Amino acid sequence: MAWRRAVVAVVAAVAVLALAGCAEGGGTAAPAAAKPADHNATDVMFLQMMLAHHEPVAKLLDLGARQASRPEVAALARELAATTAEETATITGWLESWGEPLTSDAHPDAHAAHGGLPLLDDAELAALAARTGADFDTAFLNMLIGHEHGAVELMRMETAGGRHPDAKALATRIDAALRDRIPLLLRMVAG
Amino acid sequence: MRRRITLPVLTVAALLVSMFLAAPAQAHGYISNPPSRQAMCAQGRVANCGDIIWEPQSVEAPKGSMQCNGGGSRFAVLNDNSRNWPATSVGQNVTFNWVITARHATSTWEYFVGNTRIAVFDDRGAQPGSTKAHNVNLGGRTGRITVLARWNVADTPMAFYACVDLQVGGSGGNPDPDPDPPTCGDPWNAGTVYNGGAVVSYNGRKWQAQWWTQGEAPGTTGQWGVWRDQGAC
Repeated sequence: MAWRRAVVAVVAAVAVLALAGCAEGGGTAAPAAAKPADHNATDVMFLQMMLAHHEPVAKLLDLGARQASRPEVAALARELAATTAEETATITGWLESWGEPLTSDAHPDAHAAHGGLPLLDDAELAALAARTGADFDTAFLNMLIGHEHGAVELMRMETAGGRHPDAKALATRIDAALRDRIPLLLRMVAG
Repeated sequence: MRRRITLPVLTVAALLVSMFLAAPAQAHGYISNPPSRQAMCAQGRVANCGDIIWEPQSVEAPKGSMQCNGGGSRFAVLNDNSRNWPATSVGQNVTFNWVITARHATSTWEYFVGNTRIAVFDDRGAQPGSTKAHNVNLGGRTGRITVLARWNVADTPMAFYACVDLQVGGSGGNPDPDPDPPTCGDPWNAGTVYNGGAVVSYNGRKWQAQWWTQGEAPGTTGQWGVWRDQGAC
């Protein structure tokens, strides 16, 4: 376990160095835009990971909104889908205005610490789509909860190591929302 | 040049520190339905549980323990039988549903009552999906029991532990989460604990609780809130 974390850390460190290098050296290509320089590599990594995180969640929530058997589960999925889409747009805008890429090749390697597979992939979503009724609701909520636990860690990374005030405020806001939502989801799934 | 390197290095150091601090929370899984003790804590049904409320998925300890916290140094509250853990009403066949936050290669999933292993599922090193469900027969046991579940990871010495408190009735599967209540129900009371399916009357309407709740007035909990409007009554 420890060696895996070390590997991930090294991969992340290399990625961060590369990203930091990008940020520092960005001036050569784009002369004009005075970049808001008050973001750091953690901010960038946080936002990129948020986008990577939101992409499968958007699919999950879309499925939940259409297929949940309990109306409050479907309503929750719809509301979260809207929030997720808003956040995705905001984050994309920030990264673009900072001149940073929207994705980083390094991030899939982070899954090494998570058993080597992303939590939500297309196969998992297809398996969920094959379920119906209460069985669907339980699996959907459990998949969402699992993903939200991961999101908590992402928020903590940013609030601890980020620098840009908007990005940190976003992380703080989402962290607070998660503190409310995870208990709610657990009560929903417990029935 | 030196100055330009310093910032990234410091940033990396900060990030590594934050990653390692976050590391204990990276784990990994627990039972949400019927709710395990850590799920009871995380959903707020059992109060004063300590850190477990933020990371119910992190009850990780070396394999082989028979304790609800896996015998580790953390989360001893889970072993405390004096906490009046709510017991979920079930029949003889129970489906245990897991929240998974990391898809670890798995050797086995084991379920115990007392010292008796009542079920084992051998995944032979496969990685689970993003959720997991096991159907377990309770072997004729009735009354209040505590089931200890162990998720044995294949490629580490560790396991994840979850205790689930059950009130076992006669036959049948998990209780119907959404029974049709026949009456209008008693007036809602702010101090009463309502479980999923409970029905109350409030402001001339009938309301049904969708899950455990206390102190949340019907009609105030939003469109996906705990109380579902069942119409005038």
